[in-house]
Amino acid sequence: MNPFGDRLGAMGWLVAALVVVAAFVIGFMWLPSLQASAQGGLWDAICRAAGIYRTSGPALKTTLPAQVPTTVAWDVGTLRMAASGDAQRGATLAAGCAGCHGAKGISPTDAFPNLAGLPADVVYKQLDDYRTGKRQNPIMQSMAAALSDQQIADLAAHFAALPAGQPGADAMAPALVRAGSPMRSIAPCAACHGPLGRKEGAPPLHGQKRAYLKAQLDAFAEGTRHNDINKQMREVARALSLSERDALAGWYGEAQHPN
Amino acid sequence: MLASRRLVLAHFWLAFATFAGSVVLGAWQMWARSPLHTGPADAELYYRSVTAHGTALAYVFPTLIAMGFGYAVCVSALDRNLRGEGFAWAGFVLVLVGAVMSMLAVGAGNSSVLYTFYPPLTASPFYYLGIVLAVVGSWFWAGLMVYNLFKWKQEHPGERVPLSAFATVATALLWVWTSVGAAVELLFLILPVAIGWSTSIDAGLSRTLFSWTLHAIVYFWLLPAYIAFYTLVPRAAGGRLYSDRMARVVFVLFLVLAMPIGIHHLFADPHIGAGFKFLHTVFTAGVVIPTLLTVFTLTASLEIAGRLRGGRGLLGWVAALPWDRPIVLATGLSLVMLGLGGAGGIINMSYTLDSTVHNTQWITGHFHLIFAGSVVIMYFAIAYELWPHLTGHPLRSAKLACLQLWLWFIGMLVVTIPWHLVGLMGQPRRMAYYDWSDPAIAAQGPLVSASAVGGFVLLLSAVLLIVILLRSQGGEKADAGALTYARALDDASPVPRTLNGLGVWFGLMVALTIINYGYPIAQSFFLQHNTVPRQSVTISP
Repeated sequence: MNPFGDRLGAMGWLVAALVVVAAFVIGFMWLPSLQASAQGGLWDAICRAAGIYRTSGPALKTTLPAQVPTTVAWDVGTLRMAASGDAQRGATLAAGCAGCHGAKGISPTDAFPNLAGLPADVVYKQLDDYRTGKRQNPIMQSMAAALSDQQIADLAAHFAALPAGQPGADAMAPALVRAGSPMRSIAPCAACHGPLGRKEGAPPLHGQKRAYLKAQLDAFAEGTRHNDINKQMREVARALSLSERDALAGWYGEAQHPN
Repeated sequence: MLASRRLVLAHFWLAFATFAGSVVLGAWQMWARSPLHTGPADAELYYRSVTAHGTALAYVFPTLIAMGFGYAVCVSALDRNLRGEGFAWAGFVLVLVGAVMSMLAVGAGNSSVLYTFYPPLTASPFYYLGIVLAVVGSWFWAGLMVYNLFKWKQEHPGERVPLSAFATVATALLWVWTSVGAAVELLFLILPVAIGWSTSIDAGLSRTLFSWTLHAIVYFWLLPAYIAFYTLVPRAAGGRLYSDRMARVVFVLFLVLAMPIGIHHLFADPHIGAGFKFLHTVFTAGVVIPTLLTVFTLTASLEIAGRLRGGRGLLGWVAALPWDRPIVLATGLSLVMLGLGGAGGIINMSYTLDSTVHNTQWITGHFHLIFAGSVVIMYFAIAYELWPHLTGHPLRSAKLACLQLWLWFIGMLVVTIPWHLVGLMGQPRRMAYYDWSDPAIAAQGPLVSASAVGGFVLLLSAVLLIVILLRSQGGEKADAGALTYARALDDASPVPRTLNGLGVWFGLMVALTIINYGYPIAQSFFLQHNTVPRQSVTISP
């Protein structure tokens, strides 16, 4: 085991072993016990250094803020629930939706959004928010009030399965869509709403009704709609000028739908 | 002429073709986010390009160089013929198919996750499968290296294993063990999510496993350059290697210390306890030992050469060295970049200092200076050194090759010094564009423009490399003789058994990995708070 065949080699192994032991003593015992938050004995110090923290104690108690924008959180359980719907059962339930949102999820009126092809998590969240009153609309709140989690998932599956409208020939996306406005802390719309990417709960906006989009941007700006989980839409919409809101609704809303 | 020269040439040409394409992307990226570019930013295209650049240059290019150089060493330092050449070609084809598959997936626009994967981002499964294929192909090579040395030792009992072969097998063993981390991450965590069998992923465990690979892979890239330092450079300079035994100690230290240090890439990750971060800092500091041994041995070897060539006085031997030989020049330039980059690395690996530079452009500057600078310039030199033996034509010309090396050196400094500076000013890395009209960052603009110019100097150098290599494939023929390696001053003294084989050191590497990674990996089985929903980067209509 000794590469040098003399006492120097043995010393080398000894020094290496000492360095390892010293590193353990310093890193797992001494340094963690010096931390300002250090409490408890040696064993607690070792546990903290290994990344295990006591989950009890007053400092770690969390309380929910008084006003929660939505009760939906995109954890694994919610995503599974939102994806668990049965489109067949959803189609039966959706008979009551057709009056405003169209038999195939394409709304005949500009004031109501198209639902065809929306990802299941989008419809799931909005229906849940109507049911809990986090998003307010007299018609939709009464429609959603009696729905169970499973029925909401079924409806979401039904609308997700309907063919979405085709995006039209795109004009060049405005800078706000592509790049946002970093000076005003506005993220690019396209990062969450397409065509660059999509986040859970964020609807793809291509081909949505123009008047509906404008109304929602205004509602977010005024705070009358407030079910965005991290306030991101309220922050963005407030920073947009009226003409910018018009232009965005126009660009996303311009694509044609087969009716 | 070398045996298996078509095999070695195929590896080098595929490597340099991949390299040249990626340098074009790199230059474009630097221009696209500098103030020189005034059109609209296209973030989608930018990240696609970064993913292709990183994937090709991290997984494909250095792996092919290590493979090609390894085969060349095998047929010149051990037996005249490679055992298992069929397997070698199969490995090559796997790397080729894997590389093409990954690049197509990236080009299609649904795999912009960058080469470090960043779960829970999820790309097309073809992207990951391509990388897996390329890695499996390289395992064929590693297996052949070990097998060929094993057979040679059987036939030459008690003989000293040539240093070049010893170091090549150390590189192969390092690669096999280090690639296990990313392979496990891809096969068991990422691919099931990418294929759609699962909608959530343990991002913490994924990152821990990736760090297993992430630092040692850097030493895998580095070791071919070190093999050249120890076995080719002293001969090319006209001298002797100062100590064969010291060289062996360096290679086994790299083998042992490369692995248990990867968590220094996770200093900002909350799922790793501070104790392990400290432990990995200590082991990372240990890498200073083989690095300084190398600086010492290499300088001593060059001094021997310089004095044999008539150099006198304290530093007169430096001027006496044959700087017009590409590999000697490359070594000098490489050492300058290694010194600067190594100093920066000591800052990165210090748990407390890292917080200043973590995730800034400083880091990008650091790894470009070390890898793309000091290591890749030695890849060029290795190619120049091998080319006459592979093609049967002399290099055309050494002068042009020296110009190419100088351009690479200057370009790399012009690129990376501003990156270090803007990093200290707080510029985040991995950004597709910056708002240069913002007064808060306007001062960084001129530095970023300057570094973009450096990008085009590098592109020019890459083009020149391809021209030189192509030109040297034709023209008059000249027998370059056998490929030989530097003789050492201590060639006559016996080598201890532990330094004539790698078994002990491989065992030590595995043991240290278990000590330093065992708990951080095991914890994910009882602390399950790192599982998060996947984020697909596939473009959705």
